[in-house]
Formats: sequence, structure tokens, C-alpha cells
Amino acid sequence: MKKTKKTFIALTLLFSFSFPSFALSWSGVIDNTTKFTENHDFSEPGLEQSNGVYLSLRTPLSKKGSLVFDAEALYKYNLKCAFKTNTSSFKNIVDCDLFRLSGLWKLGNGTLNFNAGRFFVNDSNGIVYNQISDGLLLSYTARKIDLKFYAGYTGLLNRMNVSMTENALVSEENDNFYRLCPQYIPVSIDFSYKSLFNKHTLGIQGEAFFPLSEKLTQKTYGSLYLKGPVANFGSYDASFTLGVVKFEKIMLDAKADFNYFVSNGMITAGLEYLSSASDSMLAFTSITSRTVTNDSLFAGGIIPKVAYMYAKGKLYASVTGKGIIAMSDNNTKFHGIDASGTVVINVFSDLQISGILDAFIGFYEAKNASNYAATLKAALQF
Amino acid sequence: MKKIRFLLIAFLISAGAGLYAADASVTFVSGKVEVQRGTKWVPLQKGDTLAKSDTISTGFQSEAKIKLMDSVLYLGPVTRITLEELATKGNTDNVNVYLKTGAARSQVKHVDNKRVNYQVHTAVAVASCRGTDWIIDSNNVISCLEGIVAVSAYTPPSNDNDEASEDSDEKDGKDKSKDGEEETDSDDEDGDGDSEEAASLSSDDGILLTANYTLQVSDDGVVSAPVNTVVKNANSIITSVTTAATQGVVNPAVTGTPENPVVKPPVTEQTGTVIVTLELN
Repeated sequence: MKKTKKTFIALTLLFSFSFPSFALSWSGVIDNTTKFTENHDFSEPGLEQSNGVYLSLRTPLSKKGSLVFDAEALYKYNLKCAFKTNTSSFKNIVDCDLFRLSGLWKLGNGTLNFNAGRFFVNDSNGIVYNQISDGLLLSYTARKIDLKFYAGYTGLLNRMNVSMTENALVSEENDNFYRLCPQYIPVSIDFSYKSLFNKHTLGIQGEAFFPLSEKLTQKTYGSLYLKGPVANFGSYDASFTLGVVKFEKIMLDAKADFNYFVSNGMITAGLEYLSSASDSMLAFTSITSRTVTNDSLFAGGIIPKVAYMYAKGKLYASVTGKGIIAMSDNNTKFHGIDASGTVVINVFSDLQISGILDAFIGFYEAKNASNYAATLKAALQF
Repeated sequence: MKKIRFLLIAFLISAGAGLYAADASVTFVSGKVEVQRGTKWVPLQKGDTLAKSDTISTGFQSEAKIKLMDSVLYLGPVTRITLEELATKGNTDNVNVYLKTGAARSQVKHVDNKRVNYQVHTAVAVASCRGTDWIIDSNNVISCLEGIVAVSAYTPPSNDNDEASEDSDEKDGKDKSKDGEEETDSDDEDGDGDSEEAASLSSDDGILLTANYTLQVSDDGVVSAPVNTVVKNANSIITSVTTAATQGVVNPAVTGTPENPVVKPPVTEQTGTVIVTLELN
């Protein structure tokens, strides 16, 4: 008992002496999300309400600030009401979504960045793994190249706050406060050359996800991506991702976007292909849950997209329209149209209000999958 | 002996003719605009001339336009600059501006048979440009409106005896490295139609920033990848209020996947020096 007490005091002293010589800053965010939903014939109105509070702190651990510790904890609740059936569910969520030691050092002509702990990880083309994760990220950035290595573990994350595709393998009915995510060991390496024809970026990325549970399957992804400007008026972004499940079946995702810049705005035209289930291929699935479309029946196909985005001063607005062309069992069908509109206004520098309208209008057999949603968000930073 | 004296005088005359101080003039003033003379701040008016080592400051809701030889420098509100260099040597104009705080927009015109070296300091970066219209602020954000700017990390001159730089102690504390700060006249590697404007720039001068693109130099001297100015504006609006966990993550809302969370670039200390170098022929 005495030993435990001494250890506790020693650790407390060590902790308190390691910080005070450097600035400790803290901040927080309170947010509100209210979402009204409707089904295809407007007969099943629903409401989703969420409020959260996030508290974060940050302290440099060296005088030059090259070594920094930051952390964030959150509490939020999700309330879902279905008015037709007069049912509701209420869930509390607590999480530590940031607990990171990071460092930045000059190395040769570039910088070496080190991150360890829990933090947001995103892959270069934004398709496979984009979520909070526990692990170690080493990256080297120079003028012409970027090199990243990441290794981590997903089994300690809160699946109520981290949306992984295979969260669905477990019933979420009794979820409350903190429930563990599927156990994967993600390992990824990413190399990009940023001076192709002087301004274009060519990258290659490999990601492997090793399961630590029999319910899960090993997945490996390889991506090739290319992006850059088109003269002074536009830009493009293209990627091709090949996924292998248990080294048996493959899945594909190929996408290309072209952006044309107009005054204070940008017009985007794009196309994405996701493989569907067939004899030789699997429907493309990512590790992080990814909402490609609001069509609940979509399981592979082609999605052409047009979008317009406007940004000036304190106002951001965008409209996006997607056509859903489903491809399964050698059958290609036009499923429907997915449309969304977003307006974001920064009322003050620390208060943001946004509104989002989503609609999926299904055709043919997808008609009953049509759905509509209106979301109002507000966030206050302090 | 007479011959030596004659040669010495001839040399002094020729050297004096080759290098002379040039003046700058104030062409527009709005609100409170002042110049530091000794320990006093003197209000500036349209038509006033400025010289090397002058420090100019603008107040809230104030603006100024300064003609620096053939170039024009616009100062935004709450901006302070020092004219560290303002001289003509042969057919080369040398302009060196230290931006301590605020934002400054520079427009540099092509002048036949003339070369211009144009510099703007903060603490961590260097940019070179030619025939260019661009904005730089004390957050080390550089937005190119026209032409090409090459941006890289800044290393202060080794013979740092510039009396105008009152903040040299700030600069000295920075560990900076700059790749290709030297002016080069190598061929353009651009290959996309900007070769004429970039004739004196190559990627060795830094990251080439074309019109409608923006980048930022961190305090560690890391030059970010250029982002279209519209995309950057969208990102900064969307991510102005966000949680710490999502800071620093690329905002997918403007890259085609609006279903993903919106996030904010990492908060950086807003101190430093950026140098912009222009070359005009």
C-alpha cells in the first residue's frame, strides 16, 4: 500500500513538473445536431438529436515546441425518435478521441513528423481508412516527396464514436457509453512524389488490416493516385484502389474528379466506380464506414457526380448531385438520384451554424428506398 | 601618384553611379498611417516620400498604397512593415520589405531591360516571383493573384547587421533552412504554359505558386503544398469551429466526399518572417 502511494506521488510530481515550464492551452466545443428524416412517401417522420461537449488541452513539452502533447475528451448523446411507431432510443457516448504525443524535426531537406497515441488517421485518397486510431505514425515530408508509415490497433476504440464498416457485425442495441471496435492491426505505407511535371503528385499506398478475431477477415489494399492542377483554372484528382480479401477475392474502387474554378467557387465533375459482388469480385468495402450514397440498396456500380461549391467571407455553400447506376450480376440499372445541399455560416469566429438537405430519389425497385433528411447544426468554440 | 589618385576618383565615381538609394512614395492613405522617425510616429499623407529603414504602420480600418520604384505595395489594416532595402544598382532594383504583422499585397510590373529583386520578410520563408501580384500576411500565408511566386523556407542573411530589423532577435531564434533561396536564371521546368513568366524561376527557387493558389509556410520552415484559393477559403470557413481531434485532417467537404467530417488545419504560432523575392527584366 505504501509502495503504491509513493509511486502515485512520484508520478504526480513527475507529471506536474514536466508541464509547468511550458504553456498549457485548453479549449472546447459545444455542438448541436438536429436531423429530421422522412421515408419515400413521407409517412415515417423521424428525429435524431445529438448534443456534445468536447474539452481539449495542448502543451508543448520542449522549449522550441517541437514536441507537443494534446488530448481531447468528449461526452455526447444521441436521441432517435420514430414518430409513427412512437419509439425512441437514447445513447450516451464518452470517449477520448485524442491522446497524442507529436514531434516535428528537421531532417535533411525535409521534416520528420512523429505521432504516437490516439489521433485521426487518413489515407491519401480518402477511401479505405479515415478515422480515429491508436498507433504510431511516422512521416517524412520534403519538397518533392512524402513518405508515411502507420501501424496501430483498432480494438480499443469506441465504436459508438468511430464508424467502422464491421461495427455492424455486432448488435448495437445495448450500446451505451463505450463499446469496443472490431480488432484490427492496420499497417500502411504511403509514398508520393510531388514534383511530377513539376506540380503534379503521383502516389502509391499499401494498406493491410490484420484481424485479431475470427469474425473478421484480413483485407489488403493497394492504391495508386494522381492529382494536380490543370493550368490555372482547374485541378484533378484520380485514384485506383484494388482490395484483396483473404488473398482470395478482389474488389475495386476507381474514381476521378475534375474541378473547374470560377469566381469564389468551384464546379466539380466526377465519376466513381465501385465493384459489386460477382463470381470473381466482391462489393467494394472500406475499413472505415463510408457513405458513398444515401441509396441503402447500393452495393456497387457507377456514380457520376456534379457539384458546385461557393466560398466567400463567412459563407460556404455547396450543392451536389449524384446519379446512382447499380451494377450487379451483369445487370446495369439506373437506381436513382442522390442530391444534397449544404450552407455553412460563421456567425462569429467561434460560432458556426450550418444546414444540410439530403434527398435520395429512387427509381424502379429502389423507389421505396427513397429518403429525405434536413439537418441543422450549430457549434460553439471556447 | 597622380595616376593612382585619378583611378581612385574614377572608381569612386563609377561605383557611386552604379549604386544609389531610391525613394518610395505614398500614393494613397486611408485612416491612420504612420512612419517611425526616430522614436516618434509621424502621420503619413499622400505624396510623402519614404526611404530605406523607414517603418510604416497602419491602424484599424486603415490602408495605404506605396510606390516602390516600379512596384506597388498595398498595406492592409493593422500592418507594420520596414523598408529594409530600397536601392538601384545598375539596371537592378532591389526592394526588401520586412512584414512584421498584418498583410501586404505586392504588384510588380515588368520593366524593359530592368531586373527587380523584391523581398518581403517574416521569419521562416522565402518566395521568389516575377511580374506578379500576390498577397502575403504575417501568418506566412502567400496567395498568388497573378503570375508565379516561388516560395521556400527563409534563412536570414549571415551578415545580419541590418539596423532596420528591430526584431532580429526573433529571427535568430528560428532554425531555418532554405532550399534554393539564391536567385537563379535557370530554365522553367513548369511545362504548362507558364514558362515565359517563370523564365527566371525554377523549382530550385522553392515551390512554384501560380495564380489563384495559396500556400503557407510553417514556423518550422515547412512549405505546404499549394491549394487553390477557393478551396482554401472553403476549408477555412468550414473548419473555423472544430474539435481538436479533427484538426489537421484534410477537409473532404471540398474534395468530393462531404459525408466525412469537416476539419481544420493545425493551429500554428503566428510569428515568423517570409521573404518574397521578385525578379523583373
